[in-house]
Amino acid sequence: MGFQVLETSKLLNYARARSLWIVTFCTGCGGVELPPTATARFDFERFGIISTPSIRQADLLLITGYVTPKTLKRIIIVYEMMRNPKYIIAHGSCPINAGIYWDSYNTVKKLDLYIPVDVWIAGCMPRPEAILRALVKLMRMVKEGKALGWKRYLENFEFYRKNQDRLFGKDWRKREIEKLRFYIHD
Amino acid sequence: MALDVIVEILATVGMVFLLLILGLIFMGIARKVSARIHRRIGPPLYQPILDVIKLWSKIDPSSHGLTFDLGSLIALGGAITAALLLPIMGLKLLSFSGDFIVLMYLMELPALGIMLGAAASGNPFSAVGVYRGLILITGAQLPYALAVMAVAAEYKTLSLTEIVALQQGSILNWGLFRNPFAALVIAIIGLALLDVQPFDIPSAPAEISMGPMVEYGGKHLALMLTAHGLEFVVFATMYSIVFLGGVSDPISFIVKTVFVALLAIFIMNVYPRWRIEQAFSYLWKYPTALALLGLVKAVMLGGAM
Amino acid sequence: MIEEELVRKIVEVFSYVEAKVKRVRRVEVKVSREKLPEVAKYLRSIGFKHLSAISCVDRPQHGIFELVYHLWSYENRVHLMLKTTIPRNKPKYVTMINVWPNAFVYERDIWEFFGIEFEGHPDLRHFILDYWDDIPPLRKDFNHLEYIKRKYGVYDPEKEYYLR
Ligand code: SF4
Repeated sequence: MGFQVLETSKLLNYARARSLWIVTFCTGCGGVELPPTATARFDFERFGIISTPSIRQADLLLITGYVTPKTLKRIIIVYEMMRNPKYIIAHGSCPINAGIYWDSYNTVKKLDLYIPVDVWIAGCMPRPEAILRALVKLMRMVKEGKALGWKRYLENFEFYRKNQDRLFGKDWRKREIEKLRFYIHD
Repeated sequence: MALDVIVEILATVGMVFLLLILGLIFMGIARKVSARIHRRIGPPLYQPILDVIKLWSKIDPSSHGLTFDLGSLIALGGAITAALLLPIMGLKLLSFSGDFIVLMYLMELPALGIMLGAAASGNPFSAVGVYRGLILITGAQLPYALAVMAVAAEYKTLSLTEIVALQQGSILNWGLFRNPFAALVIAIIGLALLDVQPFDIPSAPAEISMGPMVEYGGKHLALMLTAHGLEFVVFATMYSIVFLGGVSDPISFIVKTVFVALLAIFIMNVYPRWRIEQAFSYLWKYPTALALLGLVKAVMLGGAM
Repeated sequence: MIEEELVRKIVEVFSYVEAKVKRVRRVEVKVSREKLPEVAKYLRSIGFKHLSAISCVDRPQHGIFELVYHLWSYENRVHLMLKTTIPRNKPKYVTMINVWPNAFVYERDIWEFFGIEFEGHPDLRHFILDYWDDIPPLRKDFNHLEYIKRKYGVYDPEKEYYLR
């Protein structure tokens, strides 16, 4: 019940739309387009968007370019560490169908088989105007309560999990944790 | 009698609410002014309020155990208690004869609360942040205590109400002119306590990703942000009360606190961050020397001009 | 000319190497794989302290891998290419970490992309291709399209891929 109210309340959706915090995480070529989007020329902070280094505080994950299987693991881990509701914007043709890397052995071809994407931007590389347009579009979707990628991920977790396992092998989560063992202390 | 109590409770709640909103607005001012300094448009002034609402609207639980929850509560509680000690606009809610000392040490409580919660979260970045924060607080203690002593010796009282009364009359009676050394030192230490540049070593966002705050998200971060904003306001008000002649009416309250806050914001935007040992040796050199000078001045010349 | 002097010096010491000046500041030295370690040690001692890269070329028609050590001398300002070949059916070589310590990364890279094993290398693990399960991808006989189809699937517009 409370869940329903949290999801559909107009005020909460408005606040969510006006304060999207981005994880500072870039893949591929698109990272260079973000500083112009953030600084004086385009300034996304006027929409309340800031970038935060902490995953726990962020709402928005930008996939800014081609994704290799190794990066995809990190993306999935980061995405699962973020707190619901959370959104994803994918930049450029590489996340859509690997773009100019269509025959590369190490580029993931269709990103939304592995994680849910809310807004796609076409182009190689999208300019800051296009990124800003996508951000505004996402804000509108959030305000209307239509950006439901996080819910799709929860409901169809089996589907996403199956695709991820097919790419990385069954026990990839355990192996990733083993790699981080050094940093974990209880 | 009962009516008195009810009025007092209402005044307290209203004051706390007002100060909480004001704290968030102050953070909005900080972001807007920083944006204008960077030649950007910047977010609206009410942006931090939206941020807090959004953080409360997060669906997932965000706790890491009891100590973690207590950390943010202690931070907010410390800030609220400090706020209630201040004689603002003629209201004296918790005032007593030694409230200056209590206030000065309550100002440190939010930082300690954050450290406590962060240490419980088990994140390596938090651990580094806590370690840096404790070193910074240690560095700030000595000049802080000396400056507080200088102020006390200057006014020969420890009650904020009496300090305000002593500054009435001419503008030259203000603490800023009676003991400029102590005023300068408290301003510098304030930057360190508020965790802003050049003293934002504990939460260096680019190096240790927010330091102690890294595991805080959702509701805990909302409490934290509110506490931080409130601390900002409490510091600005305290400074106006002790050194700028008190805040007895709404106009002087707004003008003086915003003036102090703007000063902090400009400093924050102009100076880059220090390394930990630079900050430490700085704090034990110049502010300490200045605070000693202020103490000597206060003791030798007394409260006289 | 510093390049010719270098070539003369090298040939004087090791009579079996083929050394020639390619152009200004480029010297090429070819040596057989058994003799390369001692030549490498000598080159290091006469000033080629900087190993810029190790590159590998796959030549299936000759049945060899060609290893090229790109060296740079700060004193003489000369770029020297030290070349050797190893047979394709027995891809094994010795490590050069004891001569240039930064060979660590390059050898790991070549092991990953060409499958050449460097004996004496302490840490041959994957570092770009996690858990690779095919022949090394930069070999000429690696079949890209087949691998992609197997790993990522083919796009078929008739099929339901996406969740609706
Ligand atoms: S779409 Fe183009 S610019 Fe973007 S990552 Fe791919 S190749 Fe790079």
